[in-house]
Amino acid sequence: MKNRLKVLRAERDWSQAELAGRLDVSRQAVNAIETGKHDPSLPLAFRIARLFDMKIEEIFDDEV
Amino acid sequence: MMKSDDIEADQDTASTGRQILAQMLVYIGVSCVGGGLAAGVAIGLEKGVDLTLVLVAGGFTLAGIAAAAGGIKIGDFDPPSLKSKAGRSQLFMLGSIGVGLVSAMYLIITGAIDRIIDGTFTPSPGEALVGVLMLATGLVAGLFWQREMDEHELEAVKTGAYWGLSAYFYGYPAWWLTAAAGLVPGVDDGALFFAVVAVFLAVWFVKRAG
Repeated sequence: MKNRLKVLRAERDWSQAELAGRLDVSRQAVNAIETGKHDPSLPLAFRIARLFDMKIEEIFDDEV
Repeated sequence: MMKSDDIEADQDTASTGRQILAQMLVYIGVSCVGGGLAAGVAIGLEKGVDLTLVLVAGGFTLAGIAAAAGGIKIGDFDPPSLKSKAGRSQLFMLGSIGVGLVSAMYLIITGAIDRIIDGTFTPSPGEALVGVLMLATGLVAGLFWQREMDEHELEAVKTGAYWGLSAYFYGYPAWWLTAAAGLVPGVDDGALFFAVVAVFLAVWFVKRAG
């Protein structure tokens, strides 16, 4: 699934480790989500959306 | 602030290949440290210490330290910590490596590893009890570890477990059939166990590398 996580993270000048800490996941998990190798669960997708104050569908795109 | 077009140049994304290499370097390095130290002690106790032994065992140990340090440097691992899930998971991993290292050194120094390979190993009741206690502790610790994994790590473990089970489910009957037909030697339980573990570890390594 395509997503804008990497862009959103970079806009805030956060490292992967910093974002991982805010989401309480590993840095590898953030990397895997950013590269589309891991689709986050619904609870984690909601945590990501809340962190960036956006809707889930504004971050993740399942139509590509 | 970075724009979307600049993101590809982001430096903090460790590639999957680099992560796999880093993990391999760490585990191979730790194995070399344990093996070098244990072999040095075992041979030293048996034949006495000389310069060659110090150079070979010391060199092996130093190479292991260098490999592990290199792996940690390029791997960009989550720092061990009690404050975060990833940190606690790393602490569990480090603890497991430590226990494995000490156990392996004990097996090498006492010469038990040779007898295990020969198929002549008969542990004392005390050694067997300690071994079972360590396995039980590992099982309980693993239950706690499972609670501390994030979903990406859990998915890697599940995928590794699936392929490990598949290796056994299909491997055992295939080996038994071909052995019954006289094509290959009889089923070796120990070899099958290590094959299943190897499949699990390989898949887990690749999946968790992100």
